[in-house]
Amino acid sequence: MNKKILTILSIVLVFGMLIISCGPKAAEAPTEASEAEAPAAEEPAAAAPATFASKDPTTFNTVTIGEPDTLDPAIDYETAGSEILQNVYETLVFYKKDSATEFVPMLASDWTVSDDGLTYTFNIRQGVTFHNGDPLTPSDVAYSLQRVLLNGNTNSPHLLLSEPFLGIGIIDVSMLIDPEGNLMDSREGMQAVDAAQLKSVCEKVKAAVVADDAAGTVTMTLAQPYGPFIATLAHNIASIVDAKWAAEQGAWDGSCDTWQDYYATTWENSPIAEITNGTGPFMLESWDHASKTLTLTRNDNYWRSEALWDGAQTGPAKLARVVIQGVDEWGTRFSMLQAGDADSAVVPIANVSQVDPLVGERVDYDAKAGAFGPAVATETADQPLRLFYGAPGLFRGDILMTEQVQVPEGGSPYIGSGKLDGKGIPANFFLDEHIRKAFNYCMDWDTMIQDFYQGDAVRTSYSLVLPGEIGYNPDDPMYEYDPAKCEEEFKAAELVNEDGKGVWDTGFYFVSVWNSGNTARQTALTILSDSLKKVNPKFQMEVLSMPWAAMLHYYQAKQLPMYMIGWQEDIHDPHNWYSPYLVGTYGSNFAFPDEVAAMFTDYVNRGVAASDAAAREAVYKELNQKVYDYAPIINGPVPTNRHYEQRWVNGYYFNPLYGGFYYYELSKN
Amino acid sequence: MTTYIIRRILLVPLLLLGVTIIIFGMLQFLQPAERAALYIRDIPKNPEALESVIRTYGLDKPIYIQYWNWLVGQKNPNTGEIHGGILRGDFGYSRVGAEPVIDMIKHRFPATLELAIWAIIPIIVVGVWLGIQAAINHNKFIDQFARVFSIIGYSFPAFVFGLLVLMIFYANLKWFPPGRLSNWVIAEINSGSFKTYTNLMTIDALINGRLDVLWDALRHLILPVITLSYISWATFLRITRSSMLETLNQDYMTTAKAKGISTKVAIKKHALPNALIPVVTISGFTVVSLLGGVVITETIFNFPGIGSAAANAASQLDVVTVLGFALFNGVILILANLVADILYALVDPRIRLSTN
Repeated sequence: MNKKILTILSIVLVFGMLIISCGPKAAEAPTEASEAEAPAAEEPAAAAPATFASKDPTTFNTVTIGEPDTLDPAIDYETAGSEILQNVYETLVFYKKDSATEFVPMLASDWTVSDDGLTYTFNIRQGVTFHNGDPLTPSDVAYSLQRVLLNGNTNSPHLLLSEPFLGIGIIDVSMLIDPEGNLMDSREGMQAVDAAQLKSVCEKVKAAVVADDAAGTVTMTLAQPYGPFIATLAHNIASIVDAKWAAEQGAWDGSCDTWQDYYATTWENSPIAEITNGTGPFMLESWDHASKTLTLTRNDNYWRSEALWDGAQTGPAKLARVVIQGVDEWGTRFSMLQAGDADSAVVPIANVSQVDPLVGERVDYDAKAGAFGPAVATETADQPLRLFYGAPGLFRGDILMTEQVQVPEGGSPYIGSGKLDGKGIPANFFLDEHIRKAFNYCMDWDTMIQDFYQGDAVRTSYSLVLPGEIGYNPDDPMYEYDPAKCEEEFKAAELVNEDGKGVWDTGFYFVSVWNSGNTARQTALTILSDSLKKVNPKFQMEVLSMPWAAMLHYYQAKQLPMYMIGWQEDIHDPHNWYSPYLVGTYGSNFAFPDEVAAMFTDYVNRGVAASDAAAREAVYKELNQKVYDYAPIINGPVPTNRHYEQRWVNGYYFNPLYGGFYYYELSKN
Repeated sequence: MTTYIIRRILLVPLLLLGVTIIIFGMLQFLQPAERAALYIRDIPKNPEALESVIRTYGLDKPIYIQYWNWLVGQKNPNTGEIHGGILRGDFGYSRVGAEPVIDMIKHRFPATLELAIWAIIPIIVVGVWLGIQAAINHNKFIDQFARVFSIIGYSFPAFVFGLLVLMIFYANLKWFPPGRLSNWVIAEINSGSFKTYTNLMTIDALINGRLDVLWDALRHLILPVITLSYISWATFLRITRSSMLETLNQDYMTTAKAKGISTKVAIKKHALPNALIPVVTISGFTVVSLLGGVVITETIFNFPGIGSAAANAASQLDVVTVLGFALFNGVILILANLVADILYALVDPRIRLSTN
């Protein structure tokens, strides 16, 4: 018996060793698909697609990280949810293929704009039905937009709509009652307001978006001309929902007598957070939280009979199903790519070197042409993946500073002693313009781009907006890494302690924060910390990680002197950068002195309301100079994109404003 | 024996009281506003609205009243509905899961339970068998081999070994995929053509008479089971081996052999029952730790159990969810210990005799 066991165990051991020894090599070996591969080297790229075949060409499997917060289009404000929304719901207008700035009519068949830029009249497309069979009416369109405006909820992107309709600076409908914003997000507070006043607010909103079912039109009246209005209507926040169905589910019933009872609905308590009924090419079949899996099925009654742009798909989608699975562990996602079970997977920048050997075909972005070039076979042309490389994203990570840190009772660990004594910083440390500039000069972004992004990022000028947008000027100045200037600015700082000593003599200590898991932010802050120490060994900047929720809490409470964060555009328009950075989302946490806040707000408001592009350009040009002089942030590079997919996938194109894929245009071999 | 078991059972409420007091004590570290998640889902941000919620649910009341409310729930005077109350099975709302904590547990526990059931069999059977073989072949090749083999597993971090088997058996060989079920099975469940009864997929597949689904569920279980087994075998091997060696050296073993009983029978009849007593203890602990969710294994294999959910909640600072899971784990631990204690009495007469 012993001999038998010995033999069995020896076999197990030998087998185990064999497997282990061939493991890594095997991982690089061609997968199933490429075994059936023709000699691709002779006939690069063109011949390739036909030779890669999926096991199941009707189902698209996307493997990503996390899952949506909510599927209520009036509330959702993150990419996982917007990917579902843009496939299930539709908007009046949509992005023209890969363009972020050109739009095609979607649920509107066409529209007209009045000369003063205040009135938009949309003809609503006929013959469109929701997934449950209800016909689309102009009333549904009006209801959808009114619901967003009356719902508020400052965690949603509703301010994209409330600014054009209710007025610049009005970021929530409750400000029509209390301009100070004390009622914001408080349903109880709103319910306590006088009924007549509530009704008049609701009627004001309803008057801004008026449906005429008989004429088949919706007329929208803006509070002021608004440059990016059409772009805003292409955003998921303007998705059209079925009014009758939504009310049946327990959402707002459209009545001005009860709207306050639905005000500030959050993603947790929306009755349509996990169910959908749109007009889009796909329907939500299921959402399983346990396995973080969302399944979409094809809408066989899809309305689209004409192509919205050259070569666009018509009729029902080619894919019958889409399965979007949240798999947080990279190793698992990588295995799914290798096994061919994932048609596309999210690849973190740190792992691209693992995936690149599997790329048999790549499509490079041509920055000059502003488009992708032709597909080219790689040196490993037999490999199963295709890489779309180099398109600039619409995202930037920046290091932010709080100019007046809030110190809780008992002191703050983030500012050390709270004094300029080398063991801390005073709460108003970053109020000193020279100190902010010094930090800018001490930040070596080029090292970050080389070492971390491996070249996959570009620096932009200091203007807050992105290249290609009104207001962006590549010749505008930027703060280059320059230790000598950094030193100069520190020495010029006006901040002194009781003994009259400045920061250069005392040195400092404080804690900068990044959210755990985001290694880009960790790297950037570490680079900054290192170069500060090189300039003056007394400069101690600690780099600390916090869970995202904690970081959000502390920076919104203005307790963090420095933290790194990012911004992803909602619409491709400069207002979507200036407003959050100088007034709203982040601007409100910088603790600008009142006169500075007022100055920035004035520019931002004038910029968005200016009637044409040239007028906007003029305002933003001045603003850019003000921003550069004030140096409120340390602006980071813009990462470029990498999209990996199996070579049996057809029809992919990159639109930076999509939240993930627009599956309608995709198919598989 | 009966007295012993009754005593053990009577101890359970006391232990539960202790666990609830500890968890409740931990909840006191949270602000009243955060504790409001124990009763309601939508916590207002506006200070006035928040005050009214705090008053309604007595979050400013003396601690013993809050404890009582936490146990039995609290009525909302406006609606007359009772909210919260762990005895009512309401553990509060999970911010991360966007559903009540108890629903999160209900949705995820079957996966964890199924994995635990399938994993515990090879863990105990192979681990103990290896231990016995090592002991009876003391210091021979097979002993050394088994020890080295299991120690390698023991020293492998789960995430390394898990990724390794995933790379080999999934990415390369495409035999055993991650996740819990294939898409086509999920589609069948969604469409209603496959009915779930227990949510243990292997069992539901048998009830439905669907061998294809059974095979699919097993295919997804194999890699996590192998991973959990390989990293646990060393513990079982070592405990069984040392306990067995000790037993084999007892006088009664020499006596038994002197009476002419064959070695095989002596081991089976006399050594094994005595040697297995510590194994029962360690098995209890292993089952409990498996039921509490195995964070790393669940994460690597994308297995939707409660371990990965709790880890996710912890990383998002969702304390109400984490403590809800902790409470659930505490109860499981107490119950599993009760079972282990009773089994203990069954296999070890000294225990039941001493208490009688």
